[in-house]
Formats: sequence, structure tokens, C-alpha cells
Amino acid sequence: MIRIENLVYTYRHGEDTDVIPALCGVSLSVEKGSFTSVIGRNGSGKSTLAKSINALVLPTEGRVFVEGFDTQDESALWEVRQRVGMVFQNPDNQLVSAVVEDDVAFGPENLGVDPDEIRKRIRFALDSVDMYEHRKMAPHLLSGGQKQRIAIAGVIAMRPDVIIFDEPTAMLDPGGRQEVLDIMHSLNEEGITVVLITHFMEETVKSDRIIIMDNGRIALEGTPVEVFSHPAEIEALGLKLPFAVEVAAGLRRNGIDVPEDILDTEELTQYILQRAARSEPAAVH
Amino acid sequence: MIRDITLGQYYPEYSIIHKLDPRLKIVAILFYIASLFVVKDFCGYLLVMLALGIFISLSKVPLRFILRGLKPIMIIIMFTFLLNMFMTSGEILWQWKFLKITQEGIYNAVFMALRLVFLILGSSMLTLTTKPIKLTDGIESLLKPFKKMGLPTHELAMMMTIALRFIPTLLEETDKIMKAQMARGADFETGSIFRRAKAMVPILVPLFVGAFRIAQDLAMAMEARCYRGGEGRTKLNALKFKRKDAVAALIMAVYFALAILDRVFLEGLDAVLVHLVIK
Amino acid sequence: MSITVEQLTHVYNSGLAYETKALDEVSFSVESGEFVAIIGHTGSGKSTLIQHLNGILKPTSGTIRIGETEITDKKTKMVDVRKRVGLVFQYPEYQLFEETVQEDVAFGPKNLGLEKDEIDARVRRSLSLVGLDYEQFAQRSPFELSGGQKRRVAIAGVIAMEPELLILDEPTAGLDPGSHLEVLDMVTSIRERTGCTVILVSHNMNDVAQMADRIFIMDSGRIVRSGPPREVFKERDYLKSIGLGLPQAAEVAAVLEEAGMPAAGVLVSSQELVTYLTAQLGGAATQGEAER
Repeated sequence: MIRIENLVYTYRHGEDTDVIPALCGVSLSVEKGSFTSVIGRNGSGKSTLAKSINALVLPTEGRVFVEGFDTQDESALWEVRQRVGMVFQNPDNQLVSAVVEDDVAFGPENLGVDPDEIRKRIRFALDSVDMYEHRKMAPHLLSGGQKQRIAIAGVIAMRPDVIIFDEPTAMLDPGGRQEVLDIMHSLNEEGITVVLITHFMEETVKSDRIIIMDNGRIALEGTPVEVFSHPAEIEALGLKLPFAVEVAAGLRRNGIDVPEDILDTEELTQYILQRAARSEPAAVH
Repeated sequence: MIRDITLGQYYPEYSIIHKLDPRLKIVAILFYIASLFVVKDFCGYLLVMLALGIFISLSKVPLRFILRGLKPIMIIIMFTFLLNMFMTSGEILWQWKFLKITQEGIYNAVFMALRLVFLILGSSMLTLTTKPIKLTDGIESLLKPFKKMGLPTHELAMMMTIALRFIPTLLEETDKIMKAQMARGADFETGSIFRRAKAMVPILVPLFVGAFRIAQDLAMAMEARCYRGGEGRTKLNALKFKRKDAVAALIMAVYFALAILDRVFLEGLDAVLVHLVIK
Repeated sequence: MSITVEQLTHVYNSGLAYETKALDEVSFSVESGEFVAIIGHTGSGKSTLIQHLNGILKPTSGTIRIGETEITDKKTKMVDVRKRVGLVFQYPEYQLFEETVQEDVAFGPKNLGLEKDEIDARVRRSLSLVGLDYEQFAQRSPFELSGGQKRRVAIAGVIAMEPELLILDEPTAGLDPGSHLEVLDMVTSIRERTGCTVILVSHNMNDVAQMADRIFIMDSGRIVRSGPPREVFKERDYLKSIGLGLPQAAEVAAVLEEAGMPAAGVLVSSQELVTYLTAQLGGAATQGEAER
């Protein structure tokens, strides 16, 4: 689906400053239908990495391929961008139109889709984020979570294969965050490849793979279980363990052999209840 | 305070006015504005008021909401009023030192202030009843003849769409920045004009920085959604001139004809009426 | 400095069809030196409330007394209010405007009409309070700093007014987990070093449960509950009904209790949960764990 080979990206901040490396040799591939989370502290290069996947940022060195299309190939630019949708952090700054349905139509219009087909797509896209009844509203009257859902609908309407979420929940309250997280997972279940960039560790536990970026490099990668079994490294990278993982690690230190695959509070409580049930007779004595 | 500005806002509603072709509405508003300068007496204003009243009630936009749009420009209206009241020469009714109020002055003051009010109300009705995107579609379509002359009509239209979309966002941003600087003891209300102008710097700099940030974000979001100019672009809502538009156009023509008739035949009537009232 | 708020009401769009009561007869008091957190979902009236506390918004009715000053009194000079109450808005780095960090931080003290020496001393003090080195940062442009540094500069700009009451509206929004902790530590250390009263608005239940002396819960323009974290977080069902959750540790303990495990009380941190679970599951708490 996505293949990144030794991606280097450098930029200059102003005329006479030195070249600043944002990415220094990143290689990875993302499988079709997978859910990949990218985490890392501010300025670690994760956002640049995301933007390089749909050719908003072009490599200084190395290659990025989307379904075989090279992002540096100008003739394939629209092929790439149509396949790779992107949702950004600030819900206000990515909506183009002052009416919800017109905003959702923006992408398909750019692709030259027939108006009748656009109408169908609006229906489908707004339904899948549960915002169809708000189609005539002005975005500035919606909540942050709702605006973000409209932005997602705008991307869905372009029928992408991959959606990259660049810190989509950073500016939302807990309610809005949950809404967006649920939508990301349901889209993934419907077969859309998801790449999620986030600061919230709890959002990553249900991914297939986690990539931790630091200083423009991949510092750690693997399944959530693999990645979160390195607490010291994670802290050194300016990050934090998800709550349930932290508790499980604490229990392990106290001699309770909690299984490694416990990642969220639901799994944690389930495990504890099972274990308590087993040791119940013992506790009576 | 800053949220009171209704000019440029859209009021979502299902009314016949909302459904009219935007091109027609733009032309109609231009004729309406012209009519304000055609009529020269209060009889004409009765006509204007009647037309505006019907227009507003058909649009289903609450009158209170529309009137709120006058609040920010109240100062300009007052200024116009006072200027006309004191600066018109004629039959003196009251005098104190160099200040004098004349009969003609009162007449002019009321007349000019009303003209401003009608102007604002009418033109804000255009944006209140027309989705910004339709408005720009309308403008784009009306400007089409100029495209061959090299006028970038699509780009202009897109610029307007974005400007309209971001007016509320920028107002909110301004409000936030103002409050934040007030929290740091900034004072925007007292002092000489020079001091007050200088006091705007802590608002303007962050506002510009913010506007650039928004522009950058938006440009990136638009590019990511395959925006590449007007070439090969389709439109969700292509404009169609329908029967109701034709009817509306006809009504507008009648209105404008009446305004001209008023100008031609009833010009002197007001002066007579005013005379009668005051005497 | 103590705060007393009585019957505070604020109505937006008064008289219009969609007038909204953002604050509805809110009354409370905060003791000098206390750390209070305000929680509530978006639109519950939190921002409206804190903007009243330094006089940026005027109440429709009600009174606010900060120390001995009644700030809702028309005769009170706003400068006197602002220098005693510092308000850090969300994303405060978006208000930076001066060419150098030094000048930006000095903006507040200058508005207070202080002497140059005093301003300079305050800039140094407040930069040190937010953990930025004066020599290294004072002459740099705030616009070329990193996100986290910008936020520190912006907070320093408020602290430089040396408020007795410091209000922060979600000071950690948008930060990575590491910077999140740093900013919270910074708030704690500012409070310890200056002795100011702190009001923190936050969506993060874990943070407020661990940091605050008392929590105010807002819903529909009212303070519906207030008390120490371990009190207010007892009411899980009620909180859920107004769209709020518990701190994660308390939530896990509550779920376990529902399933029949012994009550744990309100737990506020992962350490407390670990200790509780260790006891329940028969593990041995290590020395290290007890200290953490």
C-alpha cells in the first residue's frame, strides 16, 4: 500500500540559517487495511512523515510510493492525493466552505465528479460520520468534534484507500476525542487503511502497529504489546505508557504475573476479575 | 460585541428568497441600492420600506437578527445624522452660538440616516439569504463574460468563498487575542488616538500571525483534497434560472419602475408635507 | 488571596430569541493559597466563569470579591484587578507579539506602570519560574522558539504581573506527554515558590485528581458539585450523566467494585491502583513501589 524507502527531508528556516533535518532516513511500509499509529514528541518528524505520504512534502532524498505511484512523479500527483486522504489537527482551519455539505463536496468537485454522484457521496460520507442531519449547518456553529467529523467526511467523499490523521484529537475535549477515535476504527473495519498521528497513548493501543519517531528517525516500532514492553525507552522519548500498561507493569513489579498483552483498562479489569475469581477460595482463609 | 456583526453572515432557512438564483439576487440588490439613490422623498422611502419589509418577511430571517447588524455601524449612522443636521443651511429653527438646526437639516439628517439603514439592511439581506458558496458561484457566473479578457473569475470566487468562511473564525480569534492582552493589563479604551492606535499592535501582530497560520493550514488542507484551480472542476450545485427567478425578476423591475416614477412625479411632495407638519 | 463569588449570573445575547444563561447564580469561595480545579464539558460555563474573575467579562448580576476588593464594583480600577489576577488562556502562545522574549514578558508589567528596574527584575524572575534561562532566551524572538518554549514564554508574560491568583485554562492542550508533565510540574513549582492561589481548568481527570485541593464541577452554567477530589469522584453515575468521567484509576476500581470486589475508595493515581490491586491479588508490595 505505502512504501517509504530511506526518506530524508531537510528544510531551511529563513535564508541564512543552516539546513534543518526533519526526517533522516526513514524506511517503512504500511499494509493495506492496517491501522498504524505514529507517536513521538513535538518536533520528532511525525507530521512531516505524514505529509510526505500524500505528496504535500516531497522527499529531499529517498522515495515514497503509494500503490506503486511515486509521490515525486508529478503526473501521478492527483492519483496519490485521491488515494491518500488527510485530516489535520485544527478543525477550524481545514474546512473550506461555510456550509457543511458544500465542504464535503469540495474534494469530489476538485476531482471532477458528476454532481449526482457527488450528492450520493455526500450522503454516504456524512452518514458514516453520523452528521447527515447537520448538512446545511455552518461549520463555525458546530463543536470541535463535529467539525472534525465533517473534515473526515470531506475526505471519505473522495473515496480514498488510506486516511492519514495528523493529530486529529489534539484540540478536542474528551467527548469529541472519543467520537473521532470511534470513527477512525469503524473506517478501518470497513477496509480503509488508517495512519494515526497522536499524542494520546490510549488512542494507539488498538492499532496493528505503533511507530515511535524521535529526531527524524524511527526509534521504536512494533505491535502495541512489543512497543509498550520498553517503558524506559518510552519515557526517554518524552512519551508515557498507556494507563493500563503502567498499572500492569506496577503489578508485575509486585510479583503478580500480569500477561503482557494487557493494553487498556477493559482488558485489565477483565483479567483482574478472572484472577480474583480463581483466588477467591484462598482469600476466604 | 464582536459577534454582533451580521454583515456577511448566512442565516440558514428554507424560504423562497433563499431558493432564488444568486445571480438574480445580486443584480436585484444592485438595483435596490440604485433605487435608494433614485428616490428623493419619503414617499419613495415608503416604497423602499414596503419592498424591504416584504423581502424580509418572505425570507423568514428574524427581524431582530437583521437589526442587530446595525449595531456596529450605529456610530456611522449617528455621525451622518448629526453632520447633516448641523451642516445644512436653511430655515433656522434653533441656534446656539455657531450650532444651528434648520428645518432642512432635520429633513436631510433623517433622510440620510434612513438611506444608510436601508442600504445596510438590504445588502445584509443578500448575504443572510444566500449561501456564501452560491453567492460566489453567482458572482463567478456574472463575471464570466470578463473571463476571456483574462479576469481570473474562478480564483476570485474561491477567494471570496474562503474570506466569507473565515470571517467568523477570524472574529473569534480577534476576540480571544483582545481578551488575552486585556488580561495582561492592555488598555484599548482610554488615552489619545495615537495611544490607542499603538495599543492595537499587541492585537494586530498575533492576528496577522494567526491569519498566516490559518492560511497555511488551509492551503495544505485544500491541496490534500486535490484542489488545482477551476480547470476540470465540477459543481455540486450548478446554477439554474427557474420560473420563480423570472417572477422575482419581474417584481424587481416593477419596483424599480415605481422608484423612477416616484422620482419623476412626486419629487416636490415631501417639501410640502414637511412644511405642513412643522407649521 | 481569597475569592468570594456570590450569585454570579451571566447572560449572553440578552433579550434575543437565543439568549443563553452561561452562568446561573454561581456562588463559591476559594481560600488563599488553595489549588482549585474546574471541570465540566465544553459549554458548561467554565471559560465564562474564569473570565469574570479578572473582570474581562462583566456579570449580568452578582458580585465577585478578590481579597478585599469587590471587582464587580464599577469604581474598581481594572488595572488593580489585572495585577492581582493572572489569566492564562488556552494556547497562550498565540498572543505573543513582541520582537524579543524579554519585551513580550515585560508587556504586562509595563501596563502596570512599573519602574524599569522592577520590570527587568520581574522578567528575570518569571522566566526563571517557567524554567527558561534568561541569558539564553531573553533576546531571542518568541516566534522562533519551539511550541513548548513559546507556551512557557506566554505563561511567563502573565506571571510577570505577579498575580496573587493564577488562573490557567487548559495549559497543557496540544502538548506531547513529556511536555504535558513538565507544564504541570511548572504550575506546581510556581505555586510553591510564589504562594499564589491557583485555579486550573482542565479536561484531564487524572491531573486534577492528583493536583487539586478542591474540584468544582460545572454543568449548564452552575457549579453542581464541589469538594476534594476523593469526594466529588465518588459520584460516578452522576458524573457520567453530565458527560464526565472518573480518573482512570478510580474508574477501574469502580468497575471492579461493581463486579463484587471490595471497595477501594476513590483512587487517583496508577500507584494507588497498583497498591490496591496488589493487596487484592495477594502480591507483595515492593519497597520501591511504596515510595513511588
